[in-house]
Amino acid sequence: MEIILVGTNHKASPLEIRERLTPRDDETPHPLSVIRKLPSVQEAFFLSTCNRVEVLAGAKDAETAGRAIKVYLMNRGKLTKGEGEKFFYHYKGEEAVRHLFRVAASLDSLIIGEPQILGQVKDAYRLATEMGATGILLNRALHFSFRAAKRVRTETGLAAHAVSVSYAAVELAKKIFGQLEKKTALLIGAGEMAELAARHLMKNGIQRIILVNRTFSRAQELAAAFNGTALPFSELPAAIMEADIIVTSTGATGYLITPEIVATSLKRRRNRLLLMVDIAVPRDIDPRVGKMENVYLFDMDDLQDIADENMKIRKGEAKKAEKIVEEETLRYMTWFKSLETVPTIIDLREKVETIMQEELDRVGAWLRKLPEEDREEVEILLRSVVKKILHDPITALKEVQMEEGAIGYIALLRKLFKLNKTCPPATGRKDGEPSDI
Amino acid sequence: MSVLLCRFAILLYLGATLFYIFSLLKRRVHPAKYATWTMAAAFAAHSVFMVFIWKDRGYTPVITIPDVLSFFAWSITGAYLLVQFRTKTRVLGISIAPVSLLLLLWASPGISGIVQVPPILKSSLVYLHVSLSLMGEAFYTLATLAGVVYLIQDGLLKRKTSQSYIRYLPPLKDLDGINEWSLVWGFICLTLGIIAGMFNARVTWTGAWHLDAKFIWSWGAWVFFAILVHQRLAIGWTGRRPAILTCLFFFLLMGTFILELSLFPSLHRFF
Repeated sequence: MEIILVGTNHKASPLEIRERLTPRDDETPHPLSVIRKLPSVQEAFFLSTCNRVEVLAGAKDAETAGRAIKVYLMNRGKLTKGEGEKFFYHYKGEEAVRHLFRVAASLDSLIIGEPQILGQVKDAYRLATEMGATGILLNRALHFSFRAAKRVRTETGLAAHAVSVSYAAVELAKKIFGQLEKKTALLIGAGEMAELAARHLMKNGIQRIILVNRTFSRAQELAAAFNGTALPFSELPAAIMEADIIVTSTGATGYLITPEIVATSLKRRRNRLLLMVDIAVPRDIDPRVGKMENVYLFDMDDLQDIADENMKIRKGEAKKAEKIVEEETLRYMTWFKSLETVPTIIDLREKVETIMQEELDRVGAWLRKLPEEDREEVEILLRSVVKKILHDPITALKEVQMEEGAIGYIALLRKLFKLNKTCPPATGRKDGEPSDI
Repeated sequence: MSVLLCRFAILLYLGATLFYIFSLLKRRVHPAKYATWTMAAAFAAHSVFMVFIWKDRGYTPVITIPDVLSFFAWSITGAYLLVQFRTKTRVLGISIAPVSLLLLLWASPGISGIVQVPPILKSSLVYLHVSLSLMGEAFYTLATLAGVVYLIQDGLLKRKTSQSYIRYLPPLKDLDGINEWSLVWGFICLTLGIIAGMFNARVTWTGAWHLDAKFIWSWGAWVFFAILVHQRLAIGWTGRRPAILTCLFFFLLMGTFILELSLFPSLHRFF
């Protein structure tokens, strides 16, 4: 049995092709159950996100299964044969495993290091296990991929820094206020950017959101969505007084917030620190405000610079991440190779031999007291018992080698007799994914 | 035994300093975590060392110059660790660990062995006076270091460049909080220390009021302290202004202290 991967991603095909491949939410039968029944496919996992559609499978014969899956995908997307050859990639064995790990670790993403992909892989895996589509090969592979992703996140800075403008603002807020709990944010203007910023701030623990907009009804609408307070435009100075973080995004042509307005409120807010983020073009806040004490002002360009710089860091960290993926791939392949019949039988014999020898050594003192012949008798007896115990399992193993489920037997045997010393157990812990894109 | 402990503590302070430097070079907070724990270990070793000295000599080791240096290093490390476990601003330690290391290194040659203490100093009020005043000054140093890092971070955020340093240094709010907390506790310690000293002076010098350089200096320090605490708690200063003022006062005090030590004779000098 071999592990294969067939699919396409944002690098391999245009969006319209991937759109045609993506299943609808209520599609029956689910693609997975169709794929599972394709010839030579024994285990299957189906991943579909906006940037990729991929099928991972445990196949009896890599060529047959690969072709069948490709044909199935081509039919789904109504592609010609030529298009199919052009847009789909087909990996086998180690290459397939490496690709899966790179995907889970977000190295193959459009924005590398973005955290959603791991959640999507986990969801897809949950679905696959619920449908009983995965088996020993894929379970292990996916658990390893989760671990690779987790290691990449903790051991490298691949996902550490914000690469979107709205999240860069949240990072800055944390560098000023530490904790965002108990802080108040004021949104001036109720556009899409403001909404995005509000969502990020809420997710990072901000306690209260005040909305001010020229059209009061729109402010009320947003306030309802974020459980915030809407204030009419005339209340702006009062709102500034209460706020710790101000995000402006109005379409106003002149400066809405001038140093004079801020100065009056600063005095009354007892010099509390104030972060101002101006994502409006043209700007809403007079740049001179940024020179005031305890006020930190960032405009769209500043945020974009931060995001760009962080993207550079991510690209640098990607090298470290690739190394981790390589290590995990190697581990998986070591485990995979141990699943062959002959080495397993050898390992099993060796293990039992060792146990027997250890026990003989342990009673060595007593054995030496026996006459020569008796001593030999004891050893012969012991050996024949061991041999007889092992005879049936080994014969059975050789017989199932021809059948489909051999890998399951071997894996179970290795587990029961603890023959997997070189291979650490897989972990599949669930993590809360921060989302910053 | 005590010499060995002292060397061990120095070694741990050195380890912490190196971890911090490594973390600064890499601009990653994670290595600073090890630095914190190494520093906690150094503090423990240092504490045990002081207990040993105290048992050896039978009095609190705050009398000779090396004693004072070591006690100061111990206080500032302890105060920092307290702050650290409250706020998790790991990187601030980068300014503390080297200070403690250098002070203890400086103190170490003369620190063990029996010292003849003038009888005038053999009073529990003296020990109280010296240790409380030193603790007050240690808190003040901590407030200054937090202030310096605050000003650096503030400047970085205003200039909007070098993201990696902004990310590496602690949040402004935490630094400001540490500055305030240290000022308040430092003020309390110094006030109590001065009161203890005054009582003692009344007893030993029988009430005469000496206009001594060191007295003036202490009062000066106390007044600076009082101004800062007042501006912070009553007027509500936060952020940049108290940070600047703390640093300014600190360097003023250091300068006058050195000047005073070298220029003026003092009744208040015993070694």
